[in-house]
Amino acid sequence: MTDALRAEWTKLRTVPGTVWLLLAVVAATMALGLGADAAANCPSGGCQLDPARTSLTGIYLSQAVVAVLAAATIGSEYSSGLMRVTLTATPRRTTVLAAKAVILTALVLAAGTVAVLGSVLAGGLILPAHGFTAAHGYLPLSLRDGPVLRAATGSVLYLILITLLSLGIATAVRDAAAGIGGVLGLLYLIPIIAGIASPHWQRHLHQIAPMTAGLAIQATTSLRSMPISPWAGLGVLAAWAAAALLAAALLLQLRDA
Amino acid sequence: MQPWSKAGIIIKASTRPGSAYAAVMVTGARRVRMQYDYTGDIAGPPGPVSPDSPRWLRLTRSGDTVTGYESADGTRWHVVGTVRLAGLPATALAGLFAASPAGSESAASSSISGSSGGSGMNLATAIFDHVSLSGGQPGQTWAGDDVGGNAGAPTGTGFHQAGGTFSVTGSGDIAPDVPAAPGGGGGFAIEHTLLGIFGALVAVIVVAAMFMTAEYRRGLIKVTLAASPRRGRVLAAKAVVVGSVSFLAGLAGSVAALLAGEHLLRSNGNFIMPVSTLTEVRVVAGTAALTAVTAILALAVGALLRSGAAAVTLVISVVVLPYLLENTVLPAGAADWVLRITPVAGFAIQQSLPQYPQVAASYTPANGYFPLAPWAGFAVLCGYAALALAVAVIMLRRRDA
Repeated sequence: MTDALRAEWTKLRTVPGTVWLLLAVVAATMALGLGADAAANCPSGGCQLDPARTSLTGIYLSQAVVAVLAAATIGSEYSSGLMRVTLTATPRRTTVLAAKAVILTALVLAAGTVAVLGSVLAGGLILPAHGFTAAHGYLPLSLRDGPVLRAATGSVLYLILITLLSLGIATAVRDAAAGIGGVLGLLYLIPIIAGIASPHWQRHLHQIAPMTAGLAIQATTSLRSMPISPWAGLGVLAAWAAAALLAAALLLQLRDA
Repeated sequence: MQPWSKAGIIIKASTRPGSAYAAVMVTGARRVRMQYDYTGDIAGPPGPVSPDSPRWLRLTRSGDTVTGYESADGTRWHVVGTVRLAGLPATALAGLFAASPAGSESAASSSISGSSGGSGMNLATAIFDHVSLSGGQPGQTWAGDDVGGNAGAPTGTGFHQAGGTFSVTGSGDIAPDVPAAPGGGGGFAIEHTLLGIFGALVAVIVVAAMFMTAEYRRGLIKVTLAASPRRGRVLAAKAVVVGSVSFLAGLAGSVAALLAGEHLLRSNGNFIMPVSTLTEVRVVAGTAALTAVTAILALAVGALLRSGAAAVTLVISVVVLPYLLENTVLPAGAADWVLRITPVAGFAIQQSLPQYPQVAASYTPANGYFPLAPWAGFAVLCGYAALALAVAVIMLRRRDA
């Protein structure tokens, strides 16, 4: 396993795209988060906005970036034929997949932590000037606040789970572009379809869709009206990621490279 | 009291909801107006109307032409509007009315009298005096009726006469039905059946991007460019092919989805807002064109980035993600701009229902309304695709294959 990890680390480190994609994770999270912070407005008490969720809006975009990173990690091996060399060197195929998952998790953990900390910090600085003050019923956004800490760590975990989901799907389809299309379709389409469903079906769709269920971890206000509780929601996404990795491992074992 | 609470005098073919009418009225905060046949709306002279500054109103009929007048003092009259009502019977009903649409969170509250009960239905009461009729009037006594009333209407509506003074209390609205309005009919717009376009777009984006990037992966691009050295033509030919195929697939898909969706919605007892055939054609053909232009955008981005995964992600992030963001997390002001300047503006081509300024409603994309006009929004998407294609041609000429 150590050798496999070292091999995957070498491959990922020496591909020029990796560094840029990890920087893009931070940039995308922060940029969209800053935009949402700047556009948010709470002129009086009782506005519907969730400050933690607003400053972490960037996750909607950066999840696409980590999905590309994961899909490209496996997809490029198939497109260049490197996969045959990899599997010759490491005949235990699940070890290859596990090593890729571990390396990707470590990288996204690092980039995601920087991105989320930056977003929460920016939210704490910007939002009070837009009416999110104690007078309107909002505590200053701080990681010392339990729900905010949960939203922040949960957002990093969310990015990791999306990475694993994308790795699984891209391995199953053996192509980066098709894999990324599948992942983004799965993430973005269900909430759009849910938009016109009846409230009953909307609730169910939000409970099972990987994105809406997983992002429940970001909620810090009106938790009672959520379709799914924060940790249960992240659990749903974890189940999706586990299912994708399991399917990938099975297909990897059964198929030719 | 809502800005569009209204009271005044009306001439109407019958008390059946939907029959022809013309009315001149005072409103909560939208001055004197003449409205006719639901969608017609003419603004009167500026100036607020309140119990302290009441108005004189007059309607005259000559054949099927109805003219509305207003006056501040009862001597100097201004014409508000003259309208022709096709099919107004020789004997029509005339009377006093009051109506108040359900409260809308986005509507600013007004200062004049009236009660408003949260977001639910509310009442408006109007006091009329100096009521007079001239010309042939078969009905000699006044009768009150709750026109178009339903089970959800609040109690307390009706009219009260004391000498020459009438007090009329009403609820609801005399206006076109807008599903997005509070208390609206809750009908579906035809484009609701075409939501599957987002799934189709993801598939088309993957295919179109790989149409270009697969050439790079296999080294086929070297052969392609050796065979046709005029590189701009290669890209143009690819754009024509992928655009035509996507258009035909999109057309087949949207026709099927529209027919099946309408059938399904109707069989479940839902109401579909009627639109003209021309609008229906524009929505369906527009959806197909949306698919084609998105495919060309993906092809061009694929040629620029030379990586399938990166191209697919970029195009999905600018075509699908903004739609999702403005429906879920973005504040209203930001969402409005996203729908003007990103390729998502193209979805405006699917809007089938017009916005009525005289009906307060949440005109949001989730309800089928876009800030740009259908063709203007589509032009924004076409602009992005054209720009990407032009840059792709330049880069393809300059770079090594």
